[in-house]
Amino acid sequence: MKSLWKISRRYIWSAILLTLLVCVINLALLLYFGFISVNGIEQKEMGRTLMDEIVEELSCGDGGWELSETGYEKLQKSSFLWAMLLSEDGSVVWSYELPEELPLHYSVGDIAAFSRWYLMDYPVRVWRNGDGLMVFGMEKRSIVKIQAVYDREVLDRLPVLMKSLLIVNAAILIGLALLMAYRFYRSLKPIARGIESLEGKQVLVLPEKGLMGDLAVKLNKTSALLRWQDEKLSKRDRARTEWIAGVSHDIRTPLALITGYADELAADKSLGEEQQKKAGVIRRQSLVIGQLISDLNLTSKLEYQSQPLQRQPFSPAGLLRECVAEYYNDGLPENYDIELKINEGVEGSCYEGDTALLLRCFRNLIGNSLRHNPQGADILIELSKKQDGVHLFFADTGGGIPEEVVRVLSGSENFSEEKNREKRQRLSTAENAETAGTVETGERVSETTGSVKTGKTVSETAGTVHVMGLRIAKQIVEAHGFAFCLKKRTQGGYDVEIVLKMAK
Amino acid sequence: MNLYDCKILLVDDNTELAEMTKGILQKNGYSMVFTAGNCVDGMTAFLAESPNLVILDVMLPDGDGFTLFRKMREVSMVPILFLSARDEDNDRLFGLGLGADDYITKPFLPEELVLRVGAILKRSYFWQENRREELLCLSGRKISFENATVEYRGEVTALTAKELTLLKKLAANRGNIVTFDALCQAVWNDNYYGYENSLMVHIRHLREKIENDPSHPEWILTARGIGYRLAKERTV
Repeated sequence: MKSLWKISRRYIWSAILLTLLVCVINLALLLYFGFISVNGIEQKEMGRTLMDEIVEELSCGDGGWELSETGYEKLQKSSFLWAMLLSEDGSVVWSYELPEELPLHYSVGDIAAFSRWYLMDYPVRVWRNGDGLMVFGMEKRSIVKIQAVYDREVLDRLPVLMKSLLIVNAAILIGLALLMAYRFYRSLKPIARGIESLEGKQVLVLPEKGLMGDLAVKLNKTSALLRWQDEKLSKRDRARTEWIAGVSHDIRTPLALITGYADELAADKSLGEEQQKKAGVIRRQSLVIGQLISDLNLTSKLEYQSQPLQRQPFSPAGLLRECVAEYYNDGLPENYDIELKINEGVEGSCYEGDTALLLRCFRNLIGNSLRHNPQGADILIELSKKQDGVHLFFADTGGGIPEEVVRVLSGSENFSEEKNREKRQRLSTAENAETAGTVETGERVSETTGSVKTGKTVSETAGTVHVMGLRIAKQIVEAHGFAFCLKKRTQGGYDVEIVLKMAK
Repeated sequence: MNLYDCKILLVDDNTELAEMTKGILQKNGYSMVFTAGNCVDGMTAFLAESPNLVILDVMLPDGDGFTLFRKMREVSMVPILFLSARDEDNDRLFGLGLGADDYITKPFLPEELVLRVGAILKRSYFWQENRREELLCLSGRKISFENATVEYRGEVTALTAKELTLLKKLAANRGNIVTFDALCQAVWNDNYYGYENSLMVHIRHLREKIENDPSHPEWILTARGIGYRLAKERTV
């Protein structure tokens, strides 16, 4: 709306400037034409100077009034059609080319009339000559005579009048400009609001009338189009999520058979040691597949928001205690240590969230540290209360999360990156398949198979899909509206920090 | 009754999987395993054999396991375990929320299934044996949960209600860390926040009553920042 006010302001200014410009131009033109018309009379050989010069040439001799030769020349050259000299009593005493219809005697009233106006439609100019009066006649309709008579009082008040006139003009100008700007503003407002709501993907129905009707029609169409596209997209996303869920479900039963029988074969003493070992690899890898499809299912659900969060109040400190205790209770190997440090102020904090998902996120982070430090490590989880909420910091004495993983993770919104990630994930899975036979990964099966624990650590369950694990952790955090940050160490890789925003 | 004499009913439409699961259970000593391939057969077998434990698949050709579960529960309270290919937390929570005793997702490790089946059966039918363990023996001290007393060298000390609850909770999870939160939930039915000191004081009193040297406890151990753990009996 701020931009709209800016538009209106500009509108007013340009209106004022435009008006001023027109006024100035008009004034200039008026002055110019006035000058030309006055000047023109002089130039058309009927000005005062000429009349004076001609009258100078008149002389009263014995045979009455006479004009000299030069006088005649000047008269002929001038634009005067005719001329006559009136004596004191109004009789024509000398004339030049006097039209016949004109009388030879004029009363005082006649003289007063034609000196101001016309003599039988001839515009005339008069010039005093001693006691007489020289009358010059011009062609009919060649000159317009306008008499101006003003009230003295009014003329005296002219400066004041002009001032108030200016003020009234300015007021009308600004008032009109404001009115028009307001109308402009009002007609633009729904359009602006429409564009804003278009940005927020809201349903848009603008009134298609008024100044901006065309624009509104187009905006409505765009909104409908966007909505349609959005629906199509979410329909496709839903279909994809459902498809993944379906596949994940259908794979599980055959996989259970493979796992079960491979397990049986791995324990079958009648087979050779080599065969038993191979069966062991099959069993391990089928569990890896189980974990993979479960992760894939969850990640696709989180990505397309089809996993509704089962929100309930939780204490971050309590939830992490539960998580860490589980690790210890499930038999954390001797060479690992998980330290939970809860700083002041954290204990009373309460948030809302899906605790099952958040626990899974924490497990992924801790599991990541365990998996990538097979030589053993101390894991530190520190909770601190800061201004923007509780911060959960996950670090270990190992190398930290490598740069490459961080890049893949942070580019997860990018489509070209997605391809890369898939490729890398495939690579890491393939790598895993090769090494799983020799590396003990320490992943517990109980975290995926039900909430009641058997109290047994199945150390060979494997699954080093580390990018997937971190990605799911990130998705879970972000689905809650919390922040997932990767913090670079001064040396080595990255640590994870989760910021639980919006403390209640 | 012997644990391995328990009848187990397995309802799964995948005959191969049912066969395999049956084999796994039989190999681990459970000789009385019956199978059914759908809801109708499952219910018939349930009524005919009255099994001690039921393992249910969630997706069945003529209905879903959750409905079958409800029907079975109308008749009897035998423990029921879900064995499902649906891995979503929601399904698991739904199943457990219905009152199922466990929920296992496929693929599963055979050993895990056997352990869980065993645990459920023990909890359901053989808890009397566990009851006898309600008499804790810690470094010569006899603790009776029933009387809330500690007997040591002929001297009997009473436990307060809160101390007893704490000790019961720890004993029920013996060997495992019980978080501060779980202990407060058990004693005060409330969050840990605000009870930090109270919990510490109660644990100290408890240690004074059952430990030889309360400042160097050998039974109630502290898991720093997480909770407490009742040490398992050492096999010396």
